[in-house]
Amino acid sequence: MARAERQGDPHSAAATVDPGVLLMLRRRTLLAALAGTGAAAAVTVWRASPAAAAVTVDEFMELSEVLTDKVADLRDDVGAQYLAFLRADPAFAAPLERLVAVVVRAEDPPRTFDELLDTGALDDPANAETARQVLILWYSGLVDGRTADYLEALAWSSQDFAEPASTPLGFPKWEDRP
Amino acid sequence: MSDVVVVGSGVAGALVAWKLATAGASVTVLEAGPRIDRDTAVEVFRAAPAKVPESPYPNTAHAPRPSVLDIGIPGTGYFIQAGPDTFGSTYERIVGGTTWHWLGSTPRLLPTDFRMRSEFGVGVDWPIGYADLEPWYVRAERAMGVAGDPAQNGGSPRSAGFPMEAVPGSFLDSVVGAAAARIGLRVELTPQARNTETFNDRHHCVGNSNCIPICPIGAKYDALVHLDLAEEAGARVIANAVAFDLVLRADGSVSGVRYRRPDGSEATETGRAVVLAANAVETAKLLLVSNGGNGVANRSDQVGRNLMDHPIQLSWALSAQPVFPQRGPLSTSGIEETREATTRGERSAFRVEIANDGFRFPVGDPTVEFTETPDRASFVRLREGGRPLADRWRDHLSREVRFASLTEQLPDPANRVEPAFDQTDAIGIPRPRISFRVDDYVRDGMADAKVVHERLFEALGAAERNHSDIAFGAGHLMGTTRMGTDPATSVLDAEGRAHDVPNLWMVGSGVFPTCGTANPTLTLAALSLRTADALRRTLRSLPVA
Ligand SMILES: Cc1cc2nc3c(=O)[nH]c(=O)nc-3n(C[C@H](O)[C@H](O)[C@H](O)COP(=O)(O)OP(=O)(O)OC[C@H]3O[C@@H](n4cnc5c(N)ncnc54)[C@H](O)[C@@H]3O)c2cc1C
Repeated sequence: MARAERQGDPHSAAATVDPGVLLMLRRRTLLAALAGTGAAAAVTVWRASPAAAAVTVDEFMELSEVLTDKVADLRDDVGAQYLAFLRADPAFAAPLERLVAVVVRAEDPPRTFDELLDTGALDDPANAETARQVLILWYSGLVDGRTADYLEALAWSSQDFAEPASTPLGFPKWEDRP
Repeated sequence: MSDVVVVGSGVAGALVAWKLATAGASVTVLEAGPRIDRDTAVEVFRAAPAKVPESPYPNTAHAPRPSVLDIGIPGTGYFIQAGPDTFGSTYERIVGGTTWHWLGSTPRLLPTDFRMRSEFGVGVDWPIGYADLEPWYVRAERAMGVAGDPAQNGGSPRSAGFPMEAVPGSFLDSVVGAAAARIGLRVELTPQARNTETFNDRHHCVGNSNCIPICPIGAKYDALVHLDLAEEAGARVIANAVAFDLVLRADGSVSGVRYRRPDGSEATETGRAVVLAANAVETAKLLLVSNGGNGVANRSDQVGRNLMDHPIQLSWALSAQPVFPQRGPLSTSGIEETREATTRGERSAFRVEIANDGFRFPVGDPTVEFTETPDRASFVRLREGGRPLADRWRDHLSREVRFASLTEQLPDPANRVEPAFDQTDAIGIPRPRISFRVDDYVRDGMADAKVVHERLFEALGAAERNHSDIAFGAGHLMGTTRMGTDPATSVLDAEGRAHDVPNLWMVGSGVFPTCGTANPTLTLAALSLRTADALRRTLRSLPVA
């Protein structure tokens, strides 16, 4: 699903938005600035787990493919940004390692999201919330109030009937049932 | 020194500059904001976390502007909101103005819209009628490049066809159209300034599905078309030149315009005639700050008053059957017959815009549906993922429908723009203070629109129906320098010339005495061409600056 239009990320307008502003916006708009904070508050504190090697980008990508069932391509450079964000947040760092332990480092690991569910790893609320957070990042393309990736955010690329806004669909394809 | 100084490079100013420059006049356009590179703006849009109309464009210190991200938040943003209601419309201050981010719908006004007082006993009559403007509508449609189906005239009689074949309706339109037919309503294709063939040297639409906030290929008309043509014909466009004072002669005529640059330095551009085209908020503000704050062309005390919008009833839901939105121009059809509501005079009529952009207006870009805000959960549920998540998302995204009905606000002198002399921008120019009330005439029209939306949802078997109780701004700024026959109650004569200042002209939807329910830009374009023609005929008789 590589898009010809994709180019480097210009940063001039990638300003973050003040969460205070968001509260007032009610229904008016959007916004990703808060992605995850509500969730983080709900997560129970987790007992210290035995020391494990830090999650690598490759491992995170493998975990992401299982969580998404590879409904669309995922890019390493984007994944690296999500990983950095999750590792920096104590609510997600340890559960992420546990998920990687189950999905990547285990023998005979689950290969799909449903198989992961069957392992029971998501029974733990912090693990489940972290898995959800990984999906929020990939689907929204937004991390920490910034755009990591718009054109290949899964909200768009998981769907075959539409193209991301600002990329061509073709005239006059909107007329037809896809 | 020029023949004509135009303030503002939006569609109104660009059309005037183009017409006069091609007629041989020397024209200088003063534009407050900077020039914009389209490709860069597209990248800025993609990188912006919030995809709002203003996302691709700069908010500069010297030419600040409102944004939907701050417009409703007391104490923030560019406007000073004096209430009681929030004025919810925004605009751009960049070379080319707000058509950079307009949608491009170009319905005409209805013949009755020009005679609200005589027909319905409310508002005022225009000094001209539909028949006077009709030939100018034809010219404006040809200049901008309007695609439409002449068989669907929306209630506005036509003397000529459209320059381009209609933009095909969306699949969504056909589903909504069938549902509407079941409840006796007719869905019509919307005329729009969007290319269905190469026109004005621009490519036809290929469905980038992003008219608001930026068409990446310029298939949607914007003012750059005529600004470029004006420059080719010799007009001079000075960017980053913020007009802040109209210079008067002893005889009361205007000799030029003073402007300020980003570094605070000042200059004066003189001309035989001055045309204000800075939109209904900024034009009114400029008039009122001029002449030492005593105002210009304001013997009637109507400058800045009668500010109107088309307050929107916004509704959204999930259709029972997939409609596959997020494809093609953001709106291709509407319901026009409600614009002639028999209750007009008691309550506002309205025009129903049928949207192809899913929930982007009420909620945000599809990507944003996955984020979390204090009052909205992410689309992703706990312990959900993989293919089932993608499937549930498809089921949701493919069924998103949204309607926006534009109501018709009446002129009310208390709804007004004033310069906030005590609250200036970064280069010392007063910001706009806006007093605004959405009255019962509009609220009742919104309630009627909500009923129509609800009936449509019912016919669509729609779930999760939402009706906003906020009167959203339509981005349509109208009425602050109205035309009229009586200098005691209007600012401009029927051709757009100030009653009080013989060589001062104004264009844009600020000149509208009432606003009907048609999106305003085609009408303001037709009026701008008409005013340019009147100005061209008198130009030679005006003294040199
Ligand atoms: C989201 C959105 C969607 C819209 N969709 C539609 C639609 O579908 N159909 C429709 O008919 N209309 C639509 N509109 C409205 C449309 O954009 C306006 O009617 C149109 O742009 C007005 O043209 P204008 O030239 O009068 O003003 P503008 O386009 O606003 O241009 C005014 C120019 O004056 C400049 N200026 C301001 N102050 C000064 C100063 N002091 N000195 C020098 N220059 C100055 C500004 O920088 C700007 O370039 C939409 C608006 C919005 C916000």
